[in-house]
Order: sequence, then C-alpha cells, then structure tokens
Amino acid sequence: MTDKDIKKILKDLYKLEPSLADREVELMEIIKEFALARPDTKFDKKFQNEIKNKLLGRFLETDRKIYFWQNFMNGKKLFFGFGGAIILILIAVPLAYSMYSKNSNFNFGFEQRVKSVGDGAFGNLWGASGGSNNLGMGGEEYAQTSAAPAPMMAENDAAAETRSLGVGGGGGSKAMIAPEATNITFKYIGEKLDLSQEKVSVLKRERTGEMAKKFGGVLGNINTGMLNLSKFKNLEAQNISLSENRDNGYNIYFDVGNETITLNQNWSKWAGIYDRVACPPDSACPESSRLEEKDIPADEALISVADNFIKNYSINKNIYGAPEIDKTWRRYYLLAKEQNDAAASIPQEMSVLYPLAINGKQVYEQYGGKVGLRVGIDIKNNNKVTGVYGLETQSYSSSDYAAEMNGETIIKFAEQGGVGGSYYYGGGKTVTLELMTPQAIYVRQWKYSGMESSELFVPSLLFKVKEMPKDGYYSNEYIAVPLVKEMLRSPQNGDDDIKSMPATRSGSGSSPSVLIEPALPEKSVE
Amino acid sequence: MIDADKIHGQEEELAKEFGKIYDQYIKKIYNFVYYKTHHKETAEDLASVTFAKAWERFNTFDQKKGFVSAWLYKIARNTVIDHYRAQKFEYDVDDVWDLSGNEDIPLDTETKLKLEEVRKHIKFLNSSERDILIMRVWQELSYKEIAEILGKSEASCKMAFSRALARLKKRIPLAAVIAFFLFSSLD
Repeated sequence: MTDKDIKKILKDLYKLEPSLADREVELMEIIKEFALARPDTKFDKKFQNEIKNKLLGRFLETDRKIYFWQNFMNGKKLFFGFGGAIILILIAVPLAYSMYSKNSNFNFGFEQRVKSVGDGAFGNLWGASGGSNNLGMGGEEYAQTSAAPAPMMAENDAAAETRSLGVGGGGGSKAMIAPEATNITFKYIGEKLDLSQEKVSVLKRERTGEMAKKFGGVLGNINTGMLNLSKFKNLEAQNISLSENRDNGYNIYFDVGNETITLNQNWSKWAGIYDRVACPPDSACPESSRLEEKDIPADEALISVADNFIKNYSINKNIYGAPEIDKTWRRYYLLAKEQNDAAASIPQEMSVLYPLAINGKQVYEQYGGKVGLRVGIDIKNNNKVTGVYGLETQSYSSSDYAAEMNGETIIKFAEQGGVGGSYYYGGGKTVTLELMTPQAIYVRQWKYSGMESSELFVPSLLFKVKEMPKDGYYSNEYIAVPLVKEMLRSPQNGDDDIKSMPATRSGSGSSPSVLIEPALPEKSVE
Repeated sequence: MIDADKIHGQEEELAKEFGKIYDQYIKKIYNFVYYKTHHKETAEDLASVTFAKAWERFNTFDQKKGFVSAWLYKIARNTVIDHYRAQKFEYDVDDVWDLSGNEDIPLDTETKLKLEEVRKHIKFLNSSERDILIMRVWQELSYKEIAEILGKSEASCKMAFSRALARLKKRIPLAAVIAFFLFSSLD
C-alpha cells in the first residue's frame, strides 16, 4: 500500500471526522504498519497448476479425453488415471464412467453433521454398555497369558503368526505360568467435579443410505447382455469391492450397509510379501527375520508414510485430528522384556492414528483405544502401507438424556473401575491406582435390539491412571464413566463390594478383537 | 441408456467455465485461507479442498443469485472452520487466531513473528469480526461481498463490527478509531 493509497483512505476519513487531519502523520504510520503486517502467503504457481490439473485435467486435456471416450464407447478395457493404476474389475466400468462424470461426484456424507431429535430417542441406555464402560487399552495377548488368572489361560500359538495392527504385540505366543493375580483399587486424586449440566447429548451414527442408493443407481443402468439391471426397480448396493490390478496394488471395500470404506493390500499383487513376515523372537528363524527396537522407524517417518499415502489417494481426512502413533503395544512389550519373557515381540505393523473428534471431544472405543482413521504400516516391508481403516460417514442424530449431576457419584464409579467394576480375584496382593482429573470424551458403544445394532456415542468422563503398576498385571490406563444418569448402575444391583470377574479377549492380537464379557449375575433390567 | 457424449459435452463446458473461475480466484482464496492458518501446506490443502467442493457443487451454483467470489469465500471459510474443529482442542477454534500459541500446530515461523503484535489486538475479536478485518483491509473486498460471504446483511456486519470496536477501543483506542473510520469510509 503506497502513501498515496493511505492518503486517499485518510481523505475519506477526514470527510467524516475533520479533526483527524491534525494527526495525519501518526495516522499514516499506523495504517501503514497495519498494511505492512499482511503476511507473505508464499503462493506457489506450481500448486495452482497441480490442483487445477487434478480437478479439471481430465476435461481440459483433449488427448486423454478422446482416449478415454473412444475406449469406453468401443467397449474396450477401461483405462483411466488413478495414480497411474488400472482398475479392471467389471463392476468398475459403469462405476468409473459415473465417477468420471462430474455430476456423479458422490458425496456420501463424510463431513460431520449432527441433527437433534427428541429427548431419550435412543431408548434405555443401560443395555448399551453391556454393564461395562471400562476402557481396556490393548495388549490382548499379554492379557491372555499374563494378566488373566490361571484357569482362563490358553495355548495361543497362532497369535504370534498373526500380524497385529500396532495395538497387539508385546506378550508371548505360548502359554506361560500364570503369575499371582493382583487386585486393583482406585483412588481419585483430581479436582472436585462440578457438574452443572442437567442433560447431556448422546449421539447415534446414522446411515443415510446415500451410498447404497448412489451405487445402486449407477449399477442399475447396466445391461450385461445376460441380464438387464435396468429392469429391476429401486436397486441399492450392498457391498462393493475394487482392486488395483498392478504391483503393490490395494483393495478398496465399500461396506455400503455400514457406510464405511476400507483399504488393504491386494495380496496377489505383492510379490514375496509372505517371505518377509517377522518371526517370533523365540522361534528358530534367521536373525534377519526378527524385529528389534532399532527396526522401528521414528514417529515422524511413520507419520510421513501415512500422510503421503493419504495424500496420494486423495483420502479425505479433514474431520480427523493430527496423526499420532499408537504405542499401546509398547507397554506390554517392555513389561514382557522386564520379566525376561523370551517371547516379547514387536508388532510387524505399526498404526498411525488420525483421531476422530466430535463436537471437539475425542472419541474412545468402549474397550479401549481412540476411534479414528488408522493407517497400518508394515515395518518389515519397507514401510509399505498395509491398509486404511475407519473411514466412516459422519451423520449423527443427537438426543438429550438426564445427566448425573453429582460429582461424587461419578467419582464413586470411577473408583470402582467404571460401571462394570474392576478385576477382583479375592486373594493375592492389592494395588491402588490414582486417578487424575478427568476430561470429557465420547465413548463409542453398541446397543443391540433384536437383529439391529445402534452405534452410540455416549458423553463420558475419562479418568487417566496417574501411574501404572510396574508389575503389569493391570492393563487399563483409563477409566471412563458415562455422564448419562441411567447408565450409572452397579452391575451387581448396587452391591459394590462384589466386583465382576475380569474380562478377557478372544482371538489373536489382531485388531479389532472381540471381547468376551464374563457372565454376570442375573439382574432385573427393563 | 446413458447418452455419454451429451453428458460429457455439458461437463466440458462446465469445466472450462470453472477453470476460468479457478484461475481468477485461486490466489485470493489461498491467501484468505493462509491468513486464517499461517501455514503454507495447510493453506494449500484447505484451498484445494475448497475448490474440490466448489467443483462438486458447481452445476448447482446460480451465478445470478450471488457473487461467485462470495460463494468461494464462504466454502473456504467453512473448510477452515471444519479443519480446526476436527482437531482435539478443548475450546472452540475457528481459525489460527483462536489458538493460544501453546498448541502443537504447524505455523510458518516468519509469519508467526510478523503477526505477533497484530495478534495481541485482533485475537480478542470473534472469527466473523476478524474475517471482516482481513477481507476488507488485506483483501480489499467490498462490504457487499463480505456481507454475502458471512451470510449477513451489510448493516448487521457493521453492527457486529461496531460491537467489536467497543471491546477493541479499551485495548487500542487509536487503532480502533482508525479501523472504525476505515470501515465506515469503505462502503
């Protein structure tokens, strides 16, 4: 901005306030200073061209356009640019045609939308938690072999051969001698809880049906020669999968019913991948097949791999937060090492998590771990991305429920280890863990009604354990307590002295695993 | 049966039209996003998302009903808000000015240092008021365009700004007076 421009602005000012003319020098300095504060935006012409090419290149480049349409109209193989890859599956032809068409840029609802519905619209929520709101933070294999009491232990050789997604690992593959069980109690040491909200909003993820309708609409135009799909009415897609037919290509799965998208490696196109499986440390594998701590890339490197993959495939991660490495496995790995467990293992796949936040609050799974977009990276295979998980549509309905306003009640549940109670074995030693001032989060929980399930997001308080016990017999780093009043019931009809039996996980260390809840005494619930 | 030639011909026309708009506005939109993020890579990401959204919806945009510039700015503004709200802040963040400075957010160092003084004053405005300041002074948009972008009337924009001035006046009296007259005189 030149002095001339500033004087012009000042001249306009003087018309409104003539006395300002007496302070012209000072005014000019201030306006100049303000204008000069405009930062250099470093606009890059190369960026301008790249984005234009990505958005419009296919329409504006005549040669590519003719090539595409000639091939398409002649019924030949369809070739089009998707990172230089070729997608050949028959189903992709009409689909690609449609996606090539600007009018069919599908918007499935990956931007967050929350719509309010009436109070209590999701029914009674007690059953949603299954009587438990504990957050177990991974370490499944270790939990099976070390944390659980002896009768619950099982041989689990297969676990070591199954590659987990950065949350498993740690423990050994073979059954060990069960250590003495440790009872856990909690003591809250944080600030006084001031709960003033009379109601809290529970969210429910809604399936809009857009994905089913739009895919169905496109595919419904196909006449295969053997069958004319256009003769069918109101077609809706159920599940769709596409595969990149190229070296190191990926599969893309659309779970249309659940409105989720998953990517993973198209195994048939990854040469020699089975030759590069990390061996368990106690097996008779060559030294080169084992993973050691020095083999784990730096966090920045893993994040860079994930970021680049997401960028290259134009995966929309706008709703997710800054990436972080899931290091849940590490605690169990170190504990196993401390105990000279020869089977202490480093997972072959590391997981980069882009955490999901709704209404500014982080979302946790009911049984541990943050919800979000996960990118798996195989550190044994040149840090190649193994898959992308957690891409889900983000339409929610919101319903108010009466909130627990008594902070002491919330603390009482936190100190008993959550709504479901904590592990209590009746003997052995007891360790008291201190809980810090909580943060507000959502806990994702499933409510089952007949054959249908609802995905609920329950406002909760997350109490972090100040210091985990050194012996590692306890795996939960957090206790979550729901703020919904009707969910705050002890599973044993108020008998707080009797805690529920410990939960254990089934299957290998792969994520996600299924948690088998222990049987609880019969209780009367509506 | 799908008439592919016809559909593609229409799309090509739309693409050409959108291409012109893109060339005309990409720098302005990028700059606007940069003023609200202070980070080149983030601004590039969000500007590209803005135009991707605009392209997706371009066939439904009626240029007779409003400025294309206002439409693009509105998408950009919402994209920036979505970007910050999707992150795990414990308070409402609409753009980089709302941050306390202690967050682990990438910022261009040069810009951060240059805006340190300005930041002290305008961080007390709400995001709409800050946008008015940025768009009017740094981007030289008319009040009419600003009002359309923010989805308000020109009068309500002035009202909002005058309320902000009342707060600013206590902090930087002279600057507030100047800003008031700047905005009043630029209608």
